[in-house]
Amino acid sequence: MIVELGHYALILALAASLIQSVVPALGARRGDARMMEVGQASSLGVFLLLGFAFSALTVAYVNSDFSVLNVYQNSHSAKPMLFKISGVWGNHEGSMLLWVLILALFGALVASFGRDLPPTLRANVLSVQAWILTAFLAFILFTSNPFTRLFPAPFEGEDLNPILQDVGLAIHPPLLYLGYVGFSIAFSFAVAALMDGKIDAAWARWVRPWTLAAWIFLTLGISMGSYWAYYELGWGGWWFWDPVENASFMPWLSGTALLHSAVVMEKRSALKVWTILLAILTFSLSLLGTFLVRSGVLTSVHAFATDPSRGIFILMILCVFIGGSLALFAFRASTLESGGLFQPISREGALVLNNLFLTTATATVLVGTLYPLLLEMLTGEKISVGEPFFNLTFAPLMVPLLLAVPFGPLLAWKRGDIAGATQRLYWAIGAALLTVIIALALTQGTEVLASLGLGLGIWLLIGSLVDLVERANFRKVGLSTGFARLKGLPRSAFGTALAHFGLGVTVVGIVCVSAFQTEVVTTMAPGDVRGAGGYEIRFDGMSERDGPNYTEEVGNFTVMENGTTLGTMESARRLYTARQMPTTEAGIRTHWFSQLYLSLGDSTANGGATVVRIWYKPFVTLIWIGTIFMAIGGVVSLADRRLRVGAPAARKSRLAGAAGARG
Amino acid sequence: MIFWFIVAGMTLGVVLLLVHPFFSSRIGSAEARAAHDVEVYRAQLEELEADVERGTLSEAEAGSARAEIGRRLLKANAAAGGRGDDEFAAPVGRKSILAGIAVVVLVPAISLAAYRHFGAQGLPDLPLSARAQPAPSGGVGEDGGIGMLIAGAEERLRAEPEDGEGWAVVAPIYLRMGRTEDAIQAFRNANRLLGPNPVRDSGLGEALTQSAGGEVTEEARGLFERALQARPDYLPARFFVALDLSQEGENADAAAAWEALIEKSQPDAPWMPIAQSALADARQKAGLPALAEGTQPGEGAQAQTQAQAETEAPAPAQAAAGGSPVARPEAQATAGEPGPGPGPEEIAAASQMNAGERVAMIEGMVSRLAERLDTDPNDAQGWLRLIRSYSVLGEDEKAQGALDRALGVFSKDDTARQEISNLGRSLGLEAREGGTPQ
Amino acid sequence: MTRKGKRLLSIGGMVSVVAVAAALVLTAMSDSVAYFNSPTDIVEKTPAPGQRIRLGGMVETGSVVRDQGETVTFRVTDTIQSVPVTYTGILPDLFREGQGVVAEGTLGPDHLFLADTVLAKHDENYMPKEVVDDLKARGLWDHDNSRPKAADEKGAGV
Repeated sequence: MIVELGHYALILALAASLIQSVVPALGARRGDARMMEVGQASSLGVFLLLGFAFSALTVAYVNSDFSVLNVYQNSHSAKPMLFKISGVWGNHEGSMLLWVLILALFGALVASFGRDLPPTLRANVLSVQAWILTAFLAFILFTSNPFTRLFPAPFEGEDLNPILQDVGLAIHPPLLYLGYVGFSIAFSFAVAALMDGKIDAAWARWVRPWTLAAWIFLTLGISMGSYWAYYELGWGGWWFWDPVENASFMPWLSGTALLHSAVVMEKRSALKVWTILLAILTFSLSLLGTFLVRSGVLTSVHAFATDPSRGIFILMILCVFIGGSLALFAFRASTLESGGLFQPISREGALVLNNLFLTTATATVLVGTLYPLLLEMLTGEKISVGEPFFNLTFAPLMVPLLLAVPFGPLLAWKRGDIAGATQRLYWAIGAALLTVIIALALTQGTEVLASLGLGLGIWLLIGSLVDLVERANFRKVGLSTGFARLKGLPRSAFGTALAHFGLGVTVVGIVCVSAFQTEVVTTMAPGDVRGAGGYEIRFDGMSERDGPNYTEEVGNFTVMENGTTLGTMESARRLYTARQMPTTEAGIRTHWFSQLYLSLGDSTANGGATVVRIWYKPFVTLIWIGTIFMAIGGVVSLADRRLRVGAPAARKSRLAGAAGARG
Repeated sequence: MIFWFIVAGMTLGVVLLLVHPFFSSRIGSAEARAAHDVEVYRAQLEELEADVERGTLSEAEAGSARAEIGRRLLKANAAAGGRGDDEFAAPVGRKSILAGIAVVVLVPAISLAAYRHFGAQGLPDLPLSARAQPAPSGGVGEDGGIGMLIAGAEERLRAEPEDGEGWAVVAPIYLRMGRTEDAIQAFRNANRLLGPNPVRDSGLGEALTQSAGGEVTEEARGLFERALQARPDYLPARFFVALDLSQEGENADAAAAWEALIEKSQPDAPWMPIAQSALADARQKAGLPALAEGTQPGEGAQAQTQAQAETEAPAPAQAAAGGSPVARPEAQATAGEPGPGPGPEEIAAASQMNAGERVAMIEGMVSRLAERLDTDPNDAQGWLRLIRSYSVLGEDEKAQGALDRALGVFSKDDTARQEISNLGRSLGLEAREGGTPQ
Repeated sequence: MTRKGKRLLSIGGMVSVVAVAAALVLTAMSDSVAYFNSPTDIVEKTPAPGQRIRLGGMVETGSVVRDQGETVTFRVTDTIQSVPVTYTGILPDLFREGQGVVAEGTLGPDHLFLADTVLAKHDENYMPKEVVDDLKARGLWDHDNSRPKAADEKGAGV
């Protein structure tokens, strides 16, 4: 019964969303406080309903209720409990349900924490949220219903796919969705402002923390996906410029731009129109990502054409929301007041520069992702746009941006002093130049680009800390007062420094791996020793082993440094017997920040020997450690009390009667 | 019923939640948005001063920022203080009553209509644990129960693969379910862990035979013989030995084996029809005279029909090589007719069933045959089979009824009438002329 | 500098960044994008050396030769023509004779295809979508059995 109740809750949520789409917005237009209040109640109700629906589906998974088609297709009674639960969102229908649940969660958060927002703004925002919710709930009900029943119920579920039984994959999609869907708040605020033709003072103060929260989740989600691909696929790469990866990277890039332009808008009331546009674009890219991944258009343009119901439905949602919001923008943007003025050399100017490069980079990724699809649909010609394309287009755009990063926080608002900023960055400049020279000397001038890249990384690392050191003013006031001042700095200053520092960490990791990794592809017989990155690796032979649902041939290796044994490593070729699915399990051994990475190939024809791929990846873990720094920076910034909305705490007596409205 | 109560409760809850703002006295007038702006700017000014106090902002910077925020504050103040038209009226207007009515009507209407369309009303949850208990009236519950039992047993065997008893339990179930390869594996494991036993040997032999597409393989034959050494009266093993002899073309030996089997079997043993037809076939091929009619009531009649059928059907030994051995002779026994005769799986299943299940399966088959004859009565062999089946099942009244109807149907076809009345007589039924055709 | 001048300067700066990006995209599109070709395309049209190509088809049965090291040669066929490919490195888990494959690289002298990437992934029934689309478009796809027509018999001919 609980399954059917969950189904009913899903439908009831759709009905409530329909009401929420219309009534609060109408109330805002007519100035009817009661109609506006419906938005709050409905947001909470819809969240509870969807939470119930999601729990009902989870219960069905936990109990292996194969009378639910979705459970039957994606679960198995012998699955470990953790993967039964993660199986709920490990498939199309369940993941869409999670998507709307998170959307409803954000709506409910606005409803409960948005009591200080101007009521019309809040009502409009909740209505716009309900439009998105309604569209996706209808999508779920009509094309991807997770509650479709199967009668009579089969004995056993169909899926025990071993590849998907991975902790990384269990956490990755929810993080990514929290990011994607979190940008819907910025979108709803933007559309609400356009509907009103007025941007309230609280607008940017609200949009920025929500965007920041979404950005933190997206950062972690992308990073985790990247590490998963690195260790699970056994290809040794950490980013493939795959369309699925790009689908999450594009909202991240434009979300990062939005984060920065929202600062300008909050502090200076400038860049209003641009920020609104960015908010729309960022969520549009999230929707595009959902479309690319969910419609099947990536797997095959033809599969999309033969079973188009889902794809067409999402495409329609995409067109209505992107087209509608952009049209609204075109009509209403001119009615928005423009804000404060500033000189090109100023904090605002630096942030505009940041936005310029980030959005242009987003555009190149967009072109690289969509062009092959469009070309194939239009002409049938098939091309593949891969790493070479992005190295040529994306990387050159990032270099000037990264060079400019340390300057930003050092420039004053309105009118900055570039010479002064440069002066304060002397240390960073010196360290960066020194790095370049040392790197050139060590590589005897063979790795010019990599040396420059390393210099860029060091420049970011030190440059991002300069602002903090300068503001603490250790040199003048001494250590103890300096630390006291450091403590008194607003958290957002720490957040900025941490995030920029993390960016530097990631850059160093990327440069080191790309330029200095050693890759040896070799045939090894037992007893053979090969060197990689200063280590010797001895192949001790193959052994066979049985796992719970697979058999594997394990290659055993011993790692030595200058003859002393450091430990053993193993890499395996696995065969999951039930599905006859072979996989490669890479062997990874971490030494500080660097990793040795072993991957087995086929055995050679005469047997005994086997092809082995050995990578030494210096500082590879910095790539992901950097992203963790960025996320922590985001969290610190989010904790800044100043980001919380300027709640009209003390009210004039004139408004006392209104206090009841906020409870 | 309780489901609809909960649905009604949920719907009511949502409707109340959505309409409560229209009745709540807590909703005052919403404050003017300009007042909000004022508060935001004031908060900004406070933060600015706090920054200056901590010394994180120079006085010069602070001054210009203060001036700017001040300017915005003044503007917002003017807007807030100027006119009250931004303040919203609290009384419930006509329009908001309409909105409330829309909620009350639309939410239940939409959700109930949509649920009727998308939902599966009243379909209970069928979690693994519920499916483990056999449902009172067979059907899904029962099948699910077996699947469940097997899943449970498999789980235990994964944990303790050396549990011979466990393998011995699941093996015949696998065989019955048609999971032949699993059955072979399970029988082998059980034999390895517990040592051979005639029943398991015979089961393994049968599984191997099924797996070989009906051919009794060397290994299977060896297993059946080993079973018979330990337990000479184990009839299923004898059946397959006889089958092998037929397949090998050793007709005289085969005839003897079949005869011995029939002698020892209960008349209603599931393999009897096959055994009899195979016996007749083997005798014919061996050049022995056909058995005399009416040696045993019922059986004789079957043998007779069998003999008639033989002229148009290939011999079982040849047929068996191509298909399931267990099925083919039966198909012949029913004159190779299409329609709802038992399939190979059903027969295989029947040999493994307990008595109650077997009767249920046979009754099911008989009633399907009766249904088919209702719609397509012009099938003499079908009627013969139906009458005989009723008689075997002890349902003389139904047999009589079927006989009457069959005679009615074939009132113009003398050969068929003759055949039907002969059968009726042999079964002790009364051939009443002029039975009404359906 | 006047305010107008400054404004022009900033707008000019932005336009130039976008223009540079557009130029980069266009250059990259012509140089670093790989075009999909079938073995027949390669035999008949002979693409310029250095042009990046994704060669898709089936691994011809019996054509895979591993030398003592890690270099593998095999032929990729679309059942009409076939092209020899050489690749150094570890082949993907699901690289099999008679199965679909996509090799990316350039055409060397003597029509020998030098692959730097070989893709054959997903599951045992996988055919790279480009290969399937291509075969379908040319009527070499057996729709009833969802596999290439007569892959084994004809492919060996060239």
